[in-house]
Amino acid sequence: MQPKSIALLQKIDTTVEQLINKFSNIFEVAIISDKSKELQAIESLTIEADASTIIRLCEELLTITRGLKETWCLGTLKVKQGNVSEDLEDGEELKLAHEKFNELTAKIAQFEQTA
Amino acid sequence: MEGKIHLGLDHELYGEGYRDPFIQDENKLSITEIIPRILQERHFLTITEESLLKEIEEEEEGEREEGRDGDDDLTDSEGNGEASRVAGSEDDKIENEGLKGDEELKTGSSINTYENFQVQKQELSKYISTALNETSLSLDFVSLLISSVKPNIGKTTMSPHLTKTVPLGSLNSDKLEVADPHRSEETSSIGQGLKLESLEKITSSFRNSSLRLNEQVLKEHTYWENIHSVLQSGEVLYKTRDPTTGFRSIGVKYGFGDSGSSYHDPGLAVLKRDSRDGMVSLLPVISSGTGGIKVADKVYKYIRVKILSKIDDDYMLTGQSIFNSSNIIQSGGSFGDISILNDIEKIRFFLFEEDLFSQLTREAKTLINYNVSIISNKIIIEVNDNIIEIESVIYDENNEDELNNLYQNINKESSMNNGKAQQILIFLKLMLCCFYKYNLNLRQGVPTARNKWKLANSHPLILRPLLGYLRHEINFKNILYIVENITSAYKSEGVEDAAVKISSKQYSTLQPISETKKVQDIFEKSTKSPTSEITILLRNNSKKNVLKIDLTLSASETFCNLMVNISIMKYENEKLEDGVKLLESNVSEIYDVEECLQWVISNFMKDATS
Repeated sequence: MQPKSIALLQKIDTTVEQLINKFSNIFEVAIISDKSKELQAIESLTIEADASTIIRLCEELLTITRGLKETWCLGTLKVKQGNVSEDLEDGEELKLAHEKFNELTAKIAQFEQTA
Repeated sequence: MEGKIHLGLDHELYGEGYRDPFIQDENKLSITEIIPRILQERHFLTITEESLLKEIEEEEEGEREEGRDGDDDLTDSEGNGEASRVAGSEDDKIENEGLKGDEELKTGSSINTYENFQVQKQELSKYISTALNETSLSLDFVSLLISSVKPNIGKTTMSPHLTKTVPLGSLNSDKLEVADPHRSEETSSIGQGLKLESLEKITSSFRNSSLRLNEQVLKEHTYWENIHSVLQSGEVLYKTRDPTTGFRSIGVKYGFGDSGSSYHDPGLAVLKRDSRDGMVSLLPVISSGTGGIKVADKVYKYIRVKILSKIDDDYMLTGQSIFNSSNIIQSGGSFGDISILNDIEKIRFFLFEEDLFSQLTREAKTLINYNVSIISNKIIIEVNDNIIEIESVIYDENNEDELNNLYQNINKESSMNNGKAQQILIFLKLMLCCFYKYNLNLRQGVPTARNKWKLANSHPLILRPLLGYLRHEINFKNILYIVENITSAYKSEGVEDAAVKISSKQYSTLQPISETKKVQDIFEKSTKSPTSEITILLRNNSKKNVLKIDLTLSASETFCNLMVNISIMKYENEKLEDGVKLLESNVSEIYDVEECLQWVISNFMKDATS
């Protein structure tokens, strides 16, 4: 595998891991038990911070897919199936084109007759 | 003693074998030591005898109570009692001494001022050192207390003795609180409220952002679908930046640069994403001088060919090419409903037209000697009684009348050359393609100095073949007419023993296509100058000799100058053997050809008749 794809896979892994961590963290912190008032306030803020991190991580996953598409569209060289020039090589069409072109040249030259 | 914290030390805790020299036994202190301590604990101003006695009494009472608890404390309490008694008597003594000192000051001040000063100075320094000692002790205490929380900070301010004897963090303090059942209930309900609030907040924010992300995904989907369809149609995509927003985006190269075009506009466009629905639109750009890109102002122009013919001494429009809108609008065609592909096709079509016109004007400049002129956006070619106008017209899709030539096709005469105009337009376009092909071949070949020079200096053959063939056709007809004229004179004069045979062949150098021979170059006919041959055979019956005149019409490099090669052979018999060459000459004027032929033929005929 290319180093680029390894890095990409690692990035996906870490993002997903963080996502799960933050999510479980929210539930952990949500327990009230008999914590002090201050601690409760801090924990409620932590919940909000974790939530925003989760949203950010989701956006990050979206950028990864975007990057993948971009690499796929721009980074690869596509070869069309079937050689175009081969059709011309086998003569018939080329001959026809040649004849037609000669005819066209003759036509544009013969100005006087039509005028 | 409310509001004050009383600190005490129990010596027993240290054990028997160890005595800290810094911790002093209050009962064994000397007067000089105990006075500062008393001063520290209370002020002499507030002390009265009654308060002291009361204090002692209270203390003794407390000790007695303690004594009842255990016998061990008995000795201690006695000691304390003694100490306080001693302290009480000391106070008296000090007062007495103070009085004495005052008396001494009054009586012997003049004698012992210096000594007195020294004594007082010593006392002062003693007090200072005691204060210092006390301060460092309390510093040690605070340091030790801190060291349980922050060992490094505590360690820096500790005395070396303390660090040696007491381990770090061995002292701790805590706030003791009375557990209040109402209080914990209160905090838990506050916590519940806070958590509920924040959970609700994040729920709504999750919902909002999920909607937003979903929308974004849909947009991305349409965007990439568009990009993919562009890619599938074989366009060249590259990374670039949107010049209007500066965001990263994908560009498309629709120009003919890779196909051999050397036009200054390489044909670049940014595939701009619509921020609302993700649809892709085309934004043509050109590279600005500093290496960046800027938005290009594209004016769509197309080329129109008009033919004007001289009718009754006046030039009338007799033919006009029409704009084939199927070139650019292919709705429902192979591209389906994807407008971006249509846009690309459209812009590419107009780029080709632009390129063609610029090449035409370049070429027309060199052909000014051959009745070709450029007036604003028009190239005018005059050929005999006809005028060919090639003009660049601004494309207006709403003006269908003009595009379809509605005004022009009013009668038969005004539309008789329509087909020809269209053919000329097609011919011009084909010749530009031919030039592209030539360029591409040069580029793909070995980059030798000669190839590079050719690439930089080659000009397309577009107008020259057109003009060349037109002129060639006229010249050919004229010469044929002259030849027939000259020879018919002899016919009509009734020379019985003379026979004239004229044969002509147009474009003789062109190889006929056969089954076996492969076509090398489609554009062969127009890239090589036209050549035609006329052969005249004159037979003199009386003398049995034959004159053969070969006329080869060709053109110069520029296609436009006439070149006629005249070759005359004389044969003694009819089998055309053992001929004698009479003349071989190149002329470039029709008049010269006529004169020469006239002279040769009349001479030959004179020979024949005489």
